[in-house]
Amino acid sequence: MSRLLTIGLSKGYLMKEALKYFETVGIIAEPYNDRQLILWDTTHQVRFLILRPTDVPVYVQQGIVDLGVTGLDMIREEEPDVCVIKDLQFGACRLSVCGDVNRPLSELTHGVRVATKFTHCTQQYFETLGIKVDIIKLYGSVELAAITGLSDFVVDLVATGKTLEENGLKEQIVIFESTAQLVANPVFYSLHFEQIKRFIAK
Amino acid sequence: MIHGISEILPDQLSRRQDILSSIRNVFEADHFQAITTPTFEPIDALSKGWDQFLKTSSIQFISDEGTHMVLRPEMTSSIARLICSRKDQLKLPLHLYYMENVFRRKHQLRKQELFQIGCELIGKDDLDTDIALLQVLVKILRSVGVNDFKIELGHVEHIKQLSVADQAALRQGMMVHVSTLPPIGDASILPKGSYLSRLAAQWNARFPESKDILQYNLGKVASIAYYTGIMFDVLIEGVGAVVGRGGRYNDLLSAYGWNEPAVGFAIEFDQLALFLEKENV
Repeated sequence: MSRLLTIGLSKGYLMKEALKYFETVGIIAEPYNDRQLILWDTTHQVRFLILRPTDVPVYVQQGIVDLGVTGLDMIREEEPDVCVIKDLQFGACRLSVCGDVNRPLSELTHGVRVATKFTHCTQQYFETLGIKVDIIKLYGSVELAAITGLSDFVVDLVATGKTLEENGLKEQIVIFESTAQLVANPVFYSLHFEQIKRFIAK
Repeated sequence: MIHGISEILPDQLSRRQDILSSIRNVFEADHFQAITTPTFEPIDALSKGWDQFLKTSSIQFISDEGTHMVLRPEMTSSIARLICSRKDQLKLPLHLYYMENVFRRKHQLRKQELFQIGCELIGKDDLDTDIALLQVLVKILRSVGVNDFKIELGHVEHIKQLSVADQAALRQGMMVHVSTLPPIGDASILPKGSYLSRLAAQWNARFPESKDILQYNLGKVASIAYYTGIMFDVLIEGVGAVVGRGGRYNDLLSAYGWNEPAVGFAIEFDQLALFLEKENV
């Protein structure tokens, strides 16, 4: 197998865990610093690209990287044309509806404003409930929307719930649970199925 | 600025015309006739054989007369609609090819205007016809200088044996949820007596030098639901998207009023041209 393998990793806390997984399949990254955008493994047969988490599905779908590590949350939100081949089981969190601790869930009804980075998942969830909500797209610090009154509720990722608690919010409904997933470009999946099976087996 | 449409300048266009004329020569040598269809037409007539994917990904509008119209999202159903409405004037079997633009709704990373080259072989349902069609595809790819490619074949008879949950997971690319991943590989993975094993045996006997071009995937599902027999994709190493796809659709024409079997394929020209420009062949 002389073909160079390219793998997209999410910058941030998923990255260390992802590299640990690749060590179990014999791919060991060379030492790196935080500013590096490209890492190599010790054999120089594998190249890691360090990407923004939202960009991993794009790189995999386009085949710029063969494999990628991304959260189930990104896959559900972007619905990229990729093959999800393995649940890596780290980076667990929940996409949840959250609101002010004093705000009863009964107020979650038609016409409420919901702020989120995950507009697609939010829309899908409330559609299945049959509740028409106004979705406000934000790019960060979503909790602030509920605190300042920009929105009535927020839909966001919750890992420990600490940030929510510190801001007087609580997790009301879990929409789904998310963990890191190993994904493959569909053409790569078909052309290198033997290699794919080795990644799945570990 | 409008996204998702194609703008091509003269130099690039002239290179693309050269590719197109090579492909046209292959079709004409194999006695295919060119066909074209209306770019848009009433959705009631065109969508009779459509699944949810085509309905939700097509661009629709209301005409000045208040008729619900649609831009053709692909050529196969458009050709089916046209020939079925004129069946008295046509003689079977039909060998048709096209080079046309099709239109899809805005989607991340997908163009809205796609240029597709393809063909339809209508009125015959046998192994020889399927093999002849695959052979045309191989000739086309070689004629434009693509030498390192695979045609990955699947068949609905293998998909039908899977549970509904497994079928759905394969369709969504959620391989983690498939109970046992269906194998992909050479003819050795094919169950004895299956259609694909007969196809493989004949292909290998007739074209031993092209044996390695075909690979088989017992879990192959198509994004468009009308296939009834073989389904296939063209895969090129290093090209992230499928360059061409096709299959047999024996029930589609009956939705338009002519109960005839058919098989065909479409090449995504933008993907092919991008690859060729990168390879500089």
